[in-house]
Amino acid sequence: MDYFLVLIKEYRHPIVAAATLIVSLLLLLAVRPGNRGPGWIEDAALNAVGSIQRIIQSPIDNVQEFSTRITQWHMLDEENRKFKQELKLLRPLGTRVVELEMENHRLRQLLEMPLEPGLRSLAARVVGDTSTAFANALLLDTGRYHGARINATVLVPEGVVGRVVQTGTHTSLVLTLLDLNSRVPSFVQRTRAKGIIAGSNGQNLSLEYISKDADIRVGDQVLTSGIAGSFPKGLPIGLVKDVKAGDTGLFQRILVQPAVDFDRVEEVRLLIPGKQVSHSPPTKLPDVTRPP
Amino acid sequence: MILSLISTLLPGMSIFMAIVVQETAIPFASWGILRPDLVIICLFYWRMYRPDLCGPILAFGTGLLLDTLSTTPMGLNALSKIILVLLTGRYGKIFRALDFVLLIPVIGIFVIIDEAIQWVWIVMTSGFTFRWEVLVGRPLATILIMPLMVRLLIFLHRSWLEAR
Repeated sequence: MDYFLVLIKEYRHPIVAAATLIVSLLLLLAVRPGNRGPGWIEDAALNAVGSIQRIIQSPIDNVQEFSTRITQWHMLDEENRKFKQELKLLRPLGTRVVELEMENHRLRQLLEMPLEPGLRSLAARVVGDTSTAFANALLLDTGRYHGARINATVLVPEGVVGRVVQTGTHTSLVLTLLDLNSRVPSFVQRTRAKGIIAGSNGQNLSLEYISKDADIRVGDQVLTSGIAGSFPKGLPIGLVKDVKAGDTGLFQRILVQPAVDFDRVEEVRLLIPGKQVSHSPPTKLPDVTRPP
Repeated sequence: MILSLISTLLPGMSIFMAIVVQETAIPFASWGILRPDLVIICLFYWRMYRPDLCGPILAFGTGLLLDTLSTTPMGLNALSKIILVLLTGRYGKIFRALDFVLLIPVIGIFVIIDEAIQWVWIVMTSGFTFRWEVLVGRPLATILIMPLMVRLLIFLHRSWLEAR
């Protein structure tokens, strides 16, 4: 026994090194993408990093705001004269503005309608891009506390960004469509051909499992099919950029240009199963010709 | 007592701050390609100058945290960071004898090794993928930021670890 203890003590560094290497390899082999092990560890990590990020970001934001105000003060006098002149010209338009405001309110209500019954939306801000050369992920400032859920669809007005794969108390991690592990059931709008949109860690997506005899053309719109239930049906994914039939194999090789510019995503909307809190889904379209 | 404890945790704390800055405070488009790997600089520095405080276990924890924050397979960053720490330990004497200017390309090579390990695993498990702009951009950005980062680490090292 003593002999073993002496041996372990003498070779503790190589033993620790070998042990950590083996544990890493075991983790790689055992934990599948999408099933990333104990949730509380990941929650704790997300919350810790999110908190520190907020502390770092707040002085940066304050300094930016302060410098913007200083710049604005320089132009204040000149702007004041200009605005007074403009105000004289714009006063007659006041009535028209009130009218437009009411119309805007009604249209906004329409816009806030859930895409499908049983879904509610949640706004979130992108606070970090945790992408690497082999992964594409975004960090949101919205977590379980705000109502975010795993598998919630993440959208911008242009189309689908991805889905939430992990939620902390105040932060969430989004697996974008570009990620190598991302798979989204989808279909081509014109021909209704169904396939799977797969990420490739590049700038484009790949539409897989579309048979060679399917009629697919460059410019065709690709939408989510709603199959498997993780994404609602009919959300824009992108446009077909290139189609190659190839001599061998059963399927076509189709490249899809994403509808979303992932480099410029700042605010997103999460679609979460459940009733809308602000208003219940209307049974018929509201009368937009009358003020609310 | 508390200050002494903080001193021993300094490498770990600086690596954690590097992760936060690298993954969240340097966000978005333009940094996607030219994003420096501050974590590798920290691991390299502390393993070289304070190997007693920065071993494979710290590298393993760092890698796991990175895996958690990104969507890379769990254990992949841990594996690559352990290998880098072991390499730094193996050639630490040689590196310490080198002039700082010569360490800059060494860091670049380390970042490339880190990416190569991850790339090999991803290709084996998920098929071929290659984004040369990211694979080149990251070592380049790391090399550019390294003098500033090392200066900061030297400051922390001298004021917290050597002063006590």
